[in-house]
Amino acid sequence: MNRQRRRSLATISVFGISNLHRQNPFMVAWWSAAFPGFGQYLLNQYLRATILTLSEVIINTLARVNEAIVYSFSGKFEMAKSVLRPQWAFGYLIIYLYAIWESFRSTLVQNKMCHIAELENEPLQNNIIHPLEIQYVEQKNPFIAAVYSFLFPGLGQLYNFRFALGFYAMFWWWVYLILSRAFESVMSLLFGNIQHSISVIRMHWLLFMPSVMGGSVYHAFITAIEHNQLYRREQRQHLIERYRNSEVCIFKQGGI
Amino acid sequence: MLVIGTFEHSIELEQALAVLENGSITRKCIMVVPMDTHFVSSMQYIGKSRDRYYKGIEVGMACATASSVVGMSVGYALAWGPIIWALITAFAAFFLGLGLFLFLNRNNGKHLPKKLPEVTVIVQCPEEQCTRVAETMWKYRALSVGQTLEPL
Repeated sequence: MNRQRRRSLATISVFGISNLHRQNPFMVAWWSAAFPGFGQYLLNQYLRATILTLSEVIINTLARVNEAIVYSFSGKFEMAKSVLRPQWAFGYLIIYLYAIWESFRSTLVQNKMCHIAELENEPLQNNIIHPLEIQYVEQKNPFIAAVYSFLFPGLGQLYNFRFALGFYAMFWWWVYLILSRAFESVMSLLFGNIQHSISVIRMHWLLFMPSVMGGSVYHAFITAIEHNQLYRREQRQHLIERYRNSEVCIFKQGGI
Repeated sequence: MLVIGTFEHSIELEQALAVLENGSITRKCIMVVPMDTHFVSSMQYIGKSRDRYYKGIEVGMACATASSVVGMSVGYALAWGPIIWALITAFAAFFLGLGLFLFLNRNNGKHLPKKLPEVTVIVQCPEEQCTRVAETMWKYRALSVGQTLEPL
């Protein structure tokens, strides 16, 4: 494993498994549209994705984009115009569109890199044992990953051993839960007090939540499937190499 | 004798092989054949996904997220409020997306059984070891195990 591989399909680090995989570029672009940075997460570009998500939350809050979305969809167009802050909104729009475009074109490139790496079939790693962590390729159940991310976004990532992303997502889910007052709202819903549940909610923070939950479920689901494929590939490489010199003779020598 | 077992890809498969090799079976007497569970052309090594339901769920999730953002905003002005409408639109869009995808791709669906033999292990051993080899295979989750005499 000392030699630097030019075209490797995957690598294992303390932070988990990073790998190339084939994806539909429209799907990746869509997740970038749902939440800037999510497309980059699907491309395993975790650092830039994280910075993009931070930028999304901060600039969206400053520009009041979410409020404008709510007012627009609920037909209060005058309110939408007055709430939006144009000094932030224009820059927000440009960065938003760039994130979508960038994830789309990176998917096309990564798909090609993936194709070459699959054909070159360089040996994959199975595990690393590091003083602070043990990481390994394991077969995962994609449905379990999806359900955990549905219950609390971030848990599916934790299940996939992407712990840094998992805790990051969990931190933000707490922030959204508290700032949107979703819990209070749901409680008054359960007690049948619909008016109170609507008035207590803070739409700006609530509007982040569907995208974050959807993206987290999707990422957990896809990652689990990818890990399964990587596991098979690595095990096949290992078995073929190990039993290459088999002398098992099924048919009579010189037979048929 | 030849003992032949089929397995899924699993860590148990490697356990089985390790146990066999630590017993009286030498590595040269073991043959391992990775099997394809569906037709793959030489260009794609291990196919992307054999299950169209996976793709359907992906499409469903994307639809659900899109609709719930709209549903939440619209619901703000409606009687039931944003949370209920977001949930209604999310679930409706998920099943609509999934259903539509499965409907449009109904001809591509091959109904494969859940467990397929992905690896075949062939062990050549003297007759008295046969039972132990077969037992080891069963212990580590073989899908099926068979034995046969070598041709004379």
